[in-house]
Amino acid sequence: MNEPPPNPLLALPQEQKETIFIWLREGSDHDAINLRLRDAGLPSASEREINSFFTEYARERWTRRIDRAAEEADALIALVRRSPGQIPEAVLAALGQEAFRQIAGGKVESADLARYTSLFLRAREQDRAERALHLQNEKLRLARRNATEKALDSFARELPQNPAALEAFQNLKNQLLDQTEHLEEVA
Amino acid sequence: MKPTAETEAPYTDPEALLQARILKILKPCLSYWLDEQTLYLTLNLSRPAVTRARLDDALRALRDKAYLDFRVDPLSRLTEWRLTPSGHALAQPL
Repeated sequence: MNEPPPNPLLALPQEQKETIFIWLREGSDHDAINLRLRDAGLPSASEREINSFFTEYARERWTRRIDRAAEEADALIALVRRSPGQIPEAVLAALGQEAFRQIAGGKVESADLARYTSLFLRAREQDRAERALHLQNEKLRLARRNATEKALDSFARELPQNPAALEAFQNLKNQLLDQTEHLEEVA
Repeated sequence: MKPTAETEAPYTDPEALLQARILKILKPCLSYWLDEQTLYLTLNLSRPAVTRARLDDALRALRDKAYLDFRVDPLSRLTEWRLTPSGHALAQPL
């Protein structure tokens, strides 16, 4: 019995095979696949070739996914480890196991997982930067207030021991402090 | 499945062949745990089909020989498996 001719779709570069696989997974039929192959400048394929491509490539893809899941999970841990701030090793191990489970089980593509993690890390970094800025502003505000109070207290000590003048001065001090608070709130 | 074809030659006993296929699947998982469902699906990508009972027997046999570690995932309640150091050594040529 003659060997069937090799499937030309399986001989395509990896990227093109992946694209055709996605078209098939989306539900494109034989005619639609051939139309897309033509648009991509590729030769058309018979229905038998398309069907056997899908079966073989899906199997190969699944096996490759399990073969690479550990590598991808390790890469994800390395990415998180490079982000600022200490993350406990136990958390990293749990994250790695979950990433491995999702990739190996075919629930998520490793590239998507890496993208989501990067987005999460970026948001986390931004949040930390905002908190640090807020803390810095708060410190500055307290320092300004302390300096004002200190200056006014020194001035008060210079005042003659006149109760009426002292009272007027205390009122002025409170008024100034209130104004400072108000200005900071507006800012 | 290509790996099967590669491991088939030295094994005449179907149970030993199945155990070798399991070791080969678990080998690249390194220290991560692979759940029984994914293992089952992977073994059944091509014919002849492997039943759950045969898979359980093979896993138990490998565990009894200390080639595999296992645990139960508290969320899914599925068993999860990985190679022990001696399992890694055994799977090296596969």
